Amino acid sequence: MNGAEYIVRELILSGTRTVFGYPGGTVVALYDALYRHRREIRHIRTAAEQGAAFAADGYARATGRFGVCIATSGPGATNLVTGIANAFMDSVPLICITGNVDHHLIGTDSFQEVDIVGMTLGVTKHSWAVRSPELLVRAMKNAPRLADCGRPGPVLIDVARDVLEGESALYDEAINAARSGDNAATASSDPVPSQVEEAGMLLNASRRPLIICGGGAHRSGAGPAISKLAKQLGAPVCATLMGLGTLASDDPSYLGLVGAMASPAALRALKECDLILTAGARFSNRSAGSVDFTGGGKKLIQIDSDSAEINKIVRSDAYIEADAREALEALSVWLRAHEVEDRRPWPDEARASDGAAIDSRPPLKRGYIDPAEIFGAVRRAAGKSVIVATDVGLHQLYTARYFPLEPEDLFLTSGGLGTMGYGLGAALGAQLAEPDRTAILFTGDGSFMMNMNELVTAAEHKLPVIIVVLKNGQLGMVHELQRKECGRRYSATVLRQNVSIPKLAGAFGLKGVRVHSAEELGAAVREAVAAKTAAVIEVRTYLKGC
Amino acid sequence: MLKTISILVDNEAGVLARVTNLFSRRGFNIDSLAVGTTDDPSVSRITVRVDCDDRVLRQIIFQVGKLVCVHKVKVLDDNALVTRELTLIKVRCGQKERGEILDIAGVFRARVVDLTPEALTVELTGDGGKTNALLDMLRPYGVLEMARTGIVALDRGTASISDTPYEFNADSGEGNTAKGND
Repeated sequence: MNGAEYIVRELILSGTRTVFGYPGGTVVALYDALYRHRREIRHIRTAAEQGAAFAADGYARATGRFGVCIATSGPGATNLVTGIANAFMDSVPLICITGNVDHHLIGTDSFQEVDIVGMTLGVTKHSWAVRSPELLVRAMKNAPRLADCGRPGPVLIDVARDVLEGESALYDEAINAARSGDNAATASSDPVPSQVEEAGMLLNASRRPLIICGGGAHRSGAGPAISKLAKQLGAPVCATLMGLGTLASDDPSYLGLVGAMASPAALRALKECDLILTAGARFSNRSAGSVDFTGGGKKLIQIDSDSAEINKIVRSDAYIEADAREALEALSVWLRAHEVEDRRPWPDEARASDGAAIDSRPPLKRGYIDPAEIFGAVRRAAGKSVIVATDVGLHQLYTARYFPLEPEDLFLTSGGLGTMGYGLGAALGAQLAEPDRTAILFTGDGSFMMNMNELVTAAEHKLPVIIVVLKNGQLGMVHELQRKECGRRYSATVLRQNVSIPKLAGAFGLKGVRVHSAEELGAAVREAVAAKTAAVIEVRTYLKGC
Repeated sequence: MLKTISILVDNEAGVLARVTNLFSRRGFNIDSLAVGTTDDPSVSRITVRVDCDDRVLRQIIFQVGKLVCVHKVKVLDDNALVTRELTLIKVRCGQKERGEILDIAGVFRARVVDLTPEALTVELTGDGGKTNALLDMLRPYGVLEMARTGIVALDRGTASISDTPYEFNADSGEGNTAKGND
């Protein structure tokens, strides 16, 4: 068999059923193999390669296993780069396969040739510049484990065209070995008892501990473990953007978001606590920049599966290098053994729920919907266990803070890289992984215009994604920066675009509506959910900067 | 604080680029760099000298350790290591100056490796200080060009990089995990 056939068979053997990509000159052999195996593996051609990377990302976040995207050499490969960087920042497992020119042409600036391995060195866990069958086998054998294991992330396999097209007996051997061998995932290492003990002693001595859960806690399914530990310690719990949904929004110990759009209750607790326990959070300047983690004799305990994150930004007093769930469970056990049972929760005063209150908003114009009503209306209409995706901007922060997210929901957002245009591709990928769930994308009028080309993918594959475009006529986050820092000189952030979203959707063969009240919005969502069809809903609103 | 770090890596194309890319991307400033194969031809040793504080040093160890192509990372003990650097210096040298320059070279135990009627090239092995001192002495004659290999270093005694607790398995799917404690 040739290299292309080998890649596709190896993907099928690893359990991959859906891949995303865009064909091109150097990957014709790969697309020929995908055609041969079209009954075993589904290929979704997106509108552009960036959309394929985002879709593979959404697919991976939905399944918990690596997503696959494919692109041709040159511009195909460079179009993947934003998606790869996005996955790297948010620790999402991807296998990106790019074609390259024939190996004897590499380095000669031949047609559609770029050094994609060099370009992505800083945003991949590992990559292979495959110029021989031996290396292709090695790459395909190691890529799944490397993408999924430890702290997940993207890997890149760049294959010369002649390797894709050339035959080798090595491929047959490798496939036979894969059929008989086991592909068991590597077990993560157990928490080290001495580290658990040190952290446990600090927790035991603390009177006002606070738990912050990040993306690592969410990914490891640490919700129940955090709930239990919070009860034992009487500790409140906050989440970073990537940690949203680890606890139910109405969990008695949950205080809400930290970072941009932090809830007042979370800010108060951060100030008053005497110890912070972080689980799978990496202290990015966005979520931790303004927090003083160690002032006033405050202690810090860090849990992270990636040892490079320990003490990277803030020096901790104790740490556990392990999977968040396992570390938290070990802490619970240690505390019970030292007779720590259900302490009285602090803070004492009722935790004022701020879910409904959005303060100091100006009077709304006719036909504009109050943002306070948008998220509740969509939540009620969409039902349980939904996929919620966002793009990047004010609408993202509003969704994070005001959409009542539950642990059974799937929340897709670009946390680390802050990639406008991420949401639609991600929602499509997740919808393909979970066809029975309702998928909703909250986007803004800026972000939506960046990658609305992927509406064609939704239409082609009849994917019933509900897209809520929150239209405020601004690039809100930058607009706000300009208000504060540039003397209200709104350079390039006012959108004087008169695009009719319903007509645009119609042109793609999708249903599009403009709604004027929360009731109409709820009805439009309910109708789309019931009919299992896509809908693009235009909502005019006012989002206050933060 | 100057620190000497030894890194064992796969002896493969592109590996040096991965390591140096990481240093530049994370803003770790390289003072000296030397690369060569080891007694095991599949493994190369990178010796890198970095001026950094403890926090950055820890970051370097763990970030470098995450690279799949990296087997081991070790910060060498400043009080128990041998370091060497080889330098070639070509100096303008007519018949008149030859005696003086040969005297200077002799004092520094530098070997003459090339001699022509107008120029002389010496080879010097040592640590950075000795090289700089010789350079200062030769400068008045006119240094035409020079090349340094960068520092290589080993632990003294039987200690070696194989003892280091920072161990990382290349290509095993465990590139993320640091074994042992710090």
